[in-house]
Amino acid sequence: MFQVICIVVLSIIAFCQMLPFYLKLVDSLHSPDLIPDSDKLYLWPEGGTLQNYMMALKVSGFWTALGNTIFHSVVFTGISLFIAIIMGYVLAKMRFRGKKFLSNILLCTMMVPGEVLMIPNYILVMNMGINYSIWGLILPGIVNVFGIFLVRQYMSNIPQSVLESAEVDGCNEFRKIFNIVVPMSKPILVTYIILTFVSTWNEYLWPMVMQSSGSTVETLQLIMYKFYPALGNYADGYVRSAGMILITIPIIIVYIIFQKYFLEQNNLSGMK
Amino acid sequence: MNQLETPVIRSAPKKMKYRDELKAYSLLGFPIAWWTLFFVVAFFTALTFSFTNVSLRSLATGSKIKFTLDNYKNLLAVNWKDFDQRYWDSLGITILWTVVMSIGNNLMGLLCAFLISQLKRGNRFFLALLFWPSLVSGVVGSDVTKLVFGSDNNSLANTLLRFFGHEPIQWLTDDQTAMLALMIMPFFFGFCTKMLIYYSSLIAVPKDYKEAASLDTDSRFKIFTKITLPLIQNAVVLNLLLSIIDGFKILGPMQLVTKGGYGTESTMLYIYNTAFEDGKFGRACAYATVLFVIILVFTLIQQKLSTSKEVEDVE
Repeated sequence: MFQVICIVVLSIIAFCQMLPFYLKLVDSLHSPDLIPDSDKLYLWPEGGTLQNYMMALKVSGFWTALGNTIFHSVVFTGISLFIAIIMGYVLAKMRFRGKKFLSNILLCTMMVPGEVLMIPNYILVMNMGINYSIWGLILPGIVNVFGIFLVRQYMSNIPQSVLESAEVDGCNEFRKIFNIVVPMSKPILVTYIILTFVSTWNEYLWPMVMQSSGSTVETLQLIMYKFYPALGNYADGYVRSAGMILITIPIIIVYIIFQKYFLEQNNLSGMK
Repeated sequence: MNQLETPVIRSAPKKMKYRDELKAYSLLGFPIAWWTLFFVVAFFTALTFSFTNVSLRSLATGSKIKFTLDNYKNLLAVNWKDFDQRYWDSLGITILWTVVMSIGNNLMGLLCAFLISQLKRGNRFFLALLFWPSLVSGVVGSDVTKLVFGSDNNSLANTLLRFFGHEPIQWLTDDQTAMLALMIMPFFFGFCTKMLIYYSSLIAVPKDYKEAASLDTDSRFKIFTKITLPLIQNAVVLNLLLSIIDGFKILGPMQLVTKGGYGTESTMLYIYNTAFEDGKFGRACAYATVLFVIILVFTLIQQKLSTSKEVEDVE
């Protein structure tokens, strides 16, 4: 009986969570000519057409922005993952003086909200002259302290004996990292990839700041945010909705593919 | 380093002594340097800027930067001619948001995590189902908020209102309701990461404890409050801290939905506008520093709380 109550309550919550997004989906499927009845909540698309999606794909700069966003997300995730693996490994498994000090200082910076550093980073990026290119979006954040500690936490559970025996066999540090430690840490690395990929894909604030410095690098989030195709009041709304759905689909796909790694391990419990 | 280069036989142990350091730091070198540039240097730059009148224009023209305490005077001295009431108003709004979200997200997160942990099967399915909204971007989320709280009669919020016999409301363009409209959805549905953390600490609670307790009482609620809750105390403290930090940094909904109008300007949005709309970097840095100090105080309180309490660590 209690089981049933649990399932019912959870289903209701899930339903309420989903409803606004469903309405968005309905909105995106309306026929462009529809002038909505102002007293009726549409739970089913009127005219049911994909025309709005076609319109959204034709937004000027859509494909460039798509390319930029993919490049941004993939390259950022790649570089920051590489750094997180190296630093996580060194901080978890190597013994050297100054390690504790270094870890503590790194931990301290987790308390500094990134937004506080937005202004100096903005000036730094401008002075480096990379604010006009996509590297201005990628490079500032590649040392991801949160990610480093996520990875380190997991790697510190790898038994030291494995690494010692590898050393006896003549592995250098790089081979130890990439042949032994990385395969053993796969779950946490997948978690890291999803979290980072999704948050990079969704990022709008830093690209917006970069644009205020004169950069012309568009990302999907930005063009959809600024997007008003001027088709008339209602049609605009439908096409915008379609655009919003479009830029969410890749995230949902990534999530569906990887969620089993992500939720199965209690990876996030190591977050503190 | 010198020890490495001196080929004296006696220094052989020393050579061994520093080999680890050399190896470690050569791996760490680049990331640490990069991090120093974009965190440490940036942090102290921001701190220095907060005592100057540096602006976007003075950076562009290279004009002289003056040392000044005005930025802080603007915030702290009530009688100062340029006292900045707007900052404290925005802080009030930020605190309102933070308190509401801390309560809502933690209660909902705990509730969902508890219900899921009670299921015999399908735990993963419900976790996945309830977690996905946190993947939706701020831009999309804000657009959904606009749709739900649209001013037309046929928006979801107004339809519900009319169903209960209330007049429809211009949600997002009214000082009374704009903040409410922004908070309703995050209040109920912003619990995703909190739920995950609660869930992983709930399933780590040893079964024997609950079984022992169930001999004494039949009430699940009592077992939960007396046994489980104290055991997951660390998760509660962590989640509260995360809510508070995230709350103070809130920017997205205000910037994207109402653009800070109708009494919804949060501190972070005010800082953003000061810096990138008005170009007053020095002032924005001072504002950010004050915000940082507030967040820091809460972080330190959390550290104190989570170490001082003598609870059996469930993890």
